[in-house]
Amino acid sequence: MSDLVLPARAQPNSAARRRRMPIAVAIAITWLAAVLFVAIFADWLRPFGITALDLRARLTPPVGFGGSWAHALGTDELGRDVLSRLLVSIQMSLRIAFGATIIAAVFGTTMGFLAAHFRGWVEQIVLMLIDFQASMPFLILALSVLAFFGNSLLLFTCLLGLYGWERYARISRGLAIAANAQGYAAAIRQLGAKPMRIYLGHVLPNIASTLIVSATLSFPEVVLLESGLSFLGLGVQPPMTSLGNMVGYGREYLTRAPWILLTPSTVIVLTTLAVSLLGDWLRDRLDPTLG
Amino acid sequence: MTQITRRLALTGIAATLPRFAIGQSDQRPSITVAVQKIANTNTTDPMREQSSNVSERWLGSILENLIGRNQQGQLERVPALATSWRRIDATTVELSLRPNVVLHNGDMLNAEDVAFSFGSERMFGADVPTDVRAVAKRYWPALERIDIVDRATIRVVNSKPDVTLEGRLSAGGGQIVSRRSWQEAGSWQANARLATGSGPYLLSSFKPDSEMVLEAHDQYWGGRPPLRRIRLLEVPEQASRIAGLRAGEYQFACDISPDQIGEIERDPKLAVKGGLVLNHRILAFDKQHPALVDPRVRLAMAHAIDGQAIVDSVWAGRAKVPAGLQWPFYGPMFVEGWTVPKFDPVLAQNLLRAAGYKGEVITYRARNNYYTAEIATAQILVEMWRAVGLNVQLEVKENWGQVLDKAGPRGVRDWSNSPTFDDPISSIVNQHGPNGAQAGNGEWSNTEMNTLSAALESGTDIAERKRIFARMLQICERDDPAYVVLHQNATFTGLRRDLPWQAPPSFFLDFGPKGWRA
Amino acid sequence: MIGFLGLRLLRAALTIVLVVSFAFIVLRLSGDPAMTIMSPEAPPEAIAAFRTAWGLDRPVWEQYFSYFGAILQGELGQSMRDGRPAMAVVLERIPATLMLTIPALIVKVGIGVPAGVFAALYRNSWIDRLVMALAVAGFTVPSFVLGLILVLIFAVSLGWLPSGGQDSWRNIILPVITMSLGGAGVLARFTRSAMLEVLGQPYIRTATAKGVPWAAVVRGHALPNAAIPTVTIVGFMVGTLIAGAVVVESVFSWPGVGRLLVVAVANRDLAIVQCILLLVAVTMVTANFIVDLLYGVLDPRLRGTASTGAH
Repeated sequence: MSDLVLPARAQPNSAARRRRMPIAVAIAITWLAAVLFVAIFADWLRPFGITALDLRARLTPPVGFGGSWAHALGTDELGRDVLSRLLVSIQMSLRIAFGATIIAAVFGTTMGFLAAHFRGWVEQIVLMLIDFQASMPFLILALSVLAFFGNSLLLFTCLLGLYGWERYARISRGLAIAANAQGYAAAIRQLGAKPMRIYLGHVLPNIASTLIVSATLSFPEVVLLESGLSFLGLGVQPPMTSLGNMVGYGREYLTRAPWILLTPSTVIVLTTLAVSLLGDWLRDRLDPTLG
Repeated sequence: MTQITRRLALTGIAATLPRFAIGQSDQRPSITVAVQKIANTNTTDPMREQSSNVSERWLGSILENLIGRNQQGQLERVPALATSWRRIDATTVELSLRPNVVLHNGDMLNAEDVAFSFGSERMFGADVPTDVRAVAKRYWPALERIDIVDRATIRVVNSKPDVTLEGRLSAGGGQIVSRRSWQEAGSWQANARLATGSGPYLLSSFKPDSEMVLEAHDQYWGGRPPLRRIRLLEVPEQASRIAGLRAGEYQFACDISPDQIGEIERDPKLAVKGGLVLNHRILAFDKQHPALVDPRVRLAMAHAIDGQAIVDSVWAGRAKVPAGLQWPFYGPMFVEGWTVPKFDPVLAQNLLRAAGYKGEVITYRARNNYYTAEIATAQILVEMWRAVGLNVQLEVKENWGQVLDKAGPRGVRDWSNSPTFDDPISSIVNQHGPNGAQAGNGEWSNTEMNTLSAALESGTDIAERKRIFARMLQICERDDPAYVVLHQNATFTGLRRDLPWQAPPSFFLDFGPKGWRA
Repeated sequence: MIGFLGLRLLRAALTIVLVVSFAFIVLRLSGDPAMTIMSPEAPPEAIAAFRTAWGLDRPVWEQYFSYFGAILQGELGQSMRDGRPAMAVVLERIPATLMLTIPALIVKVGIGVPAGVFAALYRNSWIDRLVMALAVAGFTVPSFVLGLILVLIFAVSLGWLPSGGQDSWRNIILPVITMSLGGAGVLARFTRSAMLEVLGQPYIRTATAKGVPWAAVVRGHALPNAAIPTVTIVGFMVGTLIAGAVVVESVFSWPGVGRLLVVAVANRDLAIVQCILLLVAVTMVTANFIVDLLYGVLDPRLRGTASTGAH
């Protein structure tokens, strides 16, 4: 039976080759699905509470390094279960990173389109906000949220969403202006299409690839920014936990109990890698001009 | 800038090459010391750097007091720039100055320098910044004048009876500077980053937030300083301090957290020295908080805490649960037999029940590791309180203004207490008395405590003063808790094992002839 | 052109006013410098005296206007920690910061851009895969983790390089590597993406079809067009040269502007923070301006766009 199928498979057309998913991308998607699953069901999956501590079992190593299955990934400086904290941290960081990336992408792209469409003083205001954002060290923005609104997760996510919006804005403005100048947008406009339709239906798909690359870049950046803020003591605050928070507090134990820092770091690296792979693949598929 | 860099490059190379540097004739070693911070205010002035254990690390190497502290013992008072002192009456102490003390500028120390050090140009005059004057006023609340009896004898005259004058002379605010150097520099501001005194090392250069270099003062009265040069480098990250120590770039790494001690000592070339210091970690209550109005709830919070468990885990057993807010160096004023409320969850639960506590939220404000292992300790405490039914919510704040902010409920917060000299006036009265910070912030005050504070300040009879102090402890730690003493703090310094340095029972890095015994 | 310049200057001025105002409000309302610099153990009278001396006891709006009044007269204020002129304190730190950020920028561009171009030209080959994997690896590790690990390897274990401080040129190697890896990865990905975009455009195909040699097509058409998004990112990186790298400067105990900013912000030392922000804003605005001019050079179609707002 297989003999009959083989010849047909041996000569796929170029479109089919492009659509077939590379193994790396499949693995990336699987990983992301697993991470997503963990994020949704973290509270059911975790064997211990994230604040439950045991001062007699501090810094016990993971299974295979002298530890036991009771704490498969070991314990931290307070004897808390690293696995449980990791699961909840994934949930927290994913919420923040997804939320912030979406906020940044939507807000930034909208601002960019507004600037490109209206030009004039609207454009000037958008450009001024971009300059403002770029000139204001993030440290101070983070400080203001922590100082005025306390440890609110929602506001923290919005804050990180501010990070990087200006990049989407600049790129989408530049690309939309270029697209406007190109033939197809003008042609559609002459056909009587509404501006909204032009931007969403025609300009956006044309610049989507660059924006997607931007998003796959800013997703890890948000995770890293969050860990950088944890380094400065301005990130997710205890008793809450996040990947950045774990890495930030774990750095003191890099040589003594490396698992505290390495497990969240590994999750950060793998997730980022998966998002980037997926982003590249989507980019290739979405871009009609690539042959 | 290039020139400075090049010079630094050379000194740096000298410091990283074999320690016993190849000086032409000077065979003494130079060392590099990595500290977390050099100075809070970027000044070398003891009044600006008040209540800072940061500058305590080096200040004593440059400036000295008339009366010293025994850094090789238990910080008891010892002769320093004064060889002896005696009471004339309740308001007057007479001191004999040490002869032949050469200052960093080559002058001989004389009575004029001493009088100047407590005078208006340095402490109380109109040209001194107002905040410095206020700090000086706390150090010397009733100092009237310094009388020069002769070239080698002075008298400190107070306007009120004060048994703590000798203690104050041995503490911050009692450092002696060179009058000539000070006046040559001009204003207080011009002197803020200079310090010309009599210590074993002289200030060679100070780059704020970055580096301070001290050079040996070879005419030091206490003998030839054992080190040629000390370079203090500001290395804010603990992991970086340890890495530099392990790599041989630093000979000393300060402010090591207890969990890293074993890690450092795994390297046979390295050791960790240090131990208990004069500082108690405490928790301060805001008794206006609705859930904390009843003193039984505050006492229950104290009974719920297993201080020894914190000491054994976070402090690797190297800190200590002390006998309340007092220190052995109080000597006759030390209240024997006093303890902190013992760990007793059942008693805590009973107290809570009696007080009618129904699980109201109590906010707990902490800072992000301002104190050693602060966040770890805070999270342990929250769990210990939870175990007896206390609903405490941890809020991590970024600075003191936010910790003390009156908007929003203040419940309990992290704090510490250091006695600046060997009397309860410098500690319990200083922070919890009528003019203390806790009353000033509107967190806690107690009428009887306020009355007792005045009596302790003016009292001269030791037995009576000790009775007053014991009553104060009873009020502040039992009857109407103002604070809970968690543990005495400790400080740890990593160093090359072959260096003959003795760690004093304080934050001071004593590199003088007595602290460094080859 | 003059109208264009005028508009740019006006926008730059408004941006700086916005930055300074925002920072003023945040710093003034979120902490008390007197309490932070003097500590809560200080005598209450000393704290009160400190507040009076620095005008912190006046209403915030009054402080705001007097602060702006002073700035307009060129008076940038003093550090509340030690009373030194704020701008002098900041300028003292700038050489140290540039000593790290400029080499780091050169490394980022020098590695990131060629890597991205090669990856695009050899799309889907092993070169592409390797470059992209390295690029992702470069920016997925938190910089303080990377820095600490590099220190453990090269300073502690191998003893090749110093772990921190500012003693010789060898001290800049580890911090520069730590700072550039992430940026190089970002640039490589952007450059590759932009190159692919351009290589797929009809005019490239037309040029190739006309028989123009491939190398000439790449040099003459692909590279300049692909440079636009890359230049934007590089412009942004140039803008951050002054602010330095807060985290890396802490890990490598480097006394630059980044660490000064952290300390000044923690102490709410407003004058210092504002001087840093002014310098950052001016650099950023200048960098953006240059980027806009470069747009015009790189793509004639965009030449008029920046000035469109003028009429």
